[in-house]
Amino acid sequence: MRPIAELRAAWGSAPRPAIALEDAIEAGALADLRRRFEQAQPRAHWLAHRARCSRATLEPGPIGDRLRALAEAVTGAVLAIRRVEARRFDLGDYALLANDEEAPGFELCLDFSERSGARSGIVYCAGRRPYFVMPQQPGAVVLVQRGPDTRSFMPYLQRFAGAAAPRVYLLRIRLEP
Amino acid sequence: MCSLDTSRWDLAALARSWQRAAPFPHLVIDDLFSPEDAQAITDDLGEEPCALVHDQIFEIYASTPSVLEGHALVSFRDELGTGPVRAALHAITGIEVSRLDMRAFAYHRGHYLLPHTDRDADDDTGRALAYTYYAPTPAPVTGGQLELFDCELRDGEIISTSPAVLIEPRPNRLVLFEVGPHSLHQVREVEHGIRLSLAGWFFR
Repeated sequence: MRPIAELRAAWGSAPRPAIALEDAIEAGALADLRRRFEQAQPRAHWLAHRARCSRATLEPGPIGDRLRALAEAVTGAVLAIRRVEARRFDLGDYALLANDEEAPGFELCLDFSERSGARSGIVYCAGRRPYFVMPQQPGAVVLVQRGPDTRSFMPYLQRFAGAAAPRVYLLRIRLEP
Repeated sequence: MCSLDTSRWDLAALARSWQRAAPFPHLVIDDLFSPEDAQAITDDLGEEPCALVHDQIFEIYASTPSVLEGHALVSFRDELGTGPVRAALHAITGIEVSRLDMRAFAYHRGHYLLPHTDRDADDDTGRALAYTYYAPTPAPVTGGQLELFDCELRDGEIISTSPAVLIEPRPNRLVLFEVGPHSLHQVREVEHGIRLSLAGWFFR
């Protein structure tokens, strides 16, 4: 992982602070998170004009503490976890801007999928204009400072990709000072 | 070139169909053009400049907004805007329309258009009727259906949705539907073939 000083510099230099880290969480921890997600009996959710995905209630456990500590090291702020969302996106699933809310603060997003292959992870937008794209890669983490007009969407997972496409698991953690 | 003989339409029957349609007013008219005119449209679509466009709800090839080059395409657009056609639409839908726009679309394998109502948050687009015409294609298309959703609204906001009607992109078919807070629809992902269409809105 990149040195904290480098991450801080990247964070501080962007007009809309956002950074992406590869391999931030090891494969074993990701597998455990997936297992706990599936054991939590995820429920299918489809509100067609907003999102289609599977949702489960999931406590992030030690991973949440690690990610929060990382966010504090990068931002220099003392942060508390306010909300956690765990989602699984299968072929034909998506989440639109209308499914997100404009809530200023900090957001961490962890990709705890088993493999990569989707076009991207979450896309962050200012209004409707994309400005930061999360890579779809197991263990990737993004830290984003959400402004008053920040929303995000998860691109539609095309069915024609078939077996080549992964199930995309995402853990989103909202943090506040 | 492309002529529509609305005198062949049973306007009373079409109006009844419109009023009874669920989950929201819509209409399907098959064999809109003669086979020769329909083929002329397909031939022009093959030459029409298009670009790949994508955002959060779609990925498709689309022509430039407000610009059509093919003679058959321009003829079709102009024909739709004539007095007799608009009068027929008024008789069927009860909606008076003043003008229309049209774009060409090509959905290739993997392309889609996710659920939306054609209305924006301020409802100031003036869109009254949406339409799509499916042009003949060299090979059959699988997927690419127009799917209409049944919606429950509360205080003007959609609170639940369920798939209701699936309309196949049958060649030489015209589909019309009323634009409103309930008109949630999508184009399902194309699995095989290329779905060719001309689509747009009639405005108040």
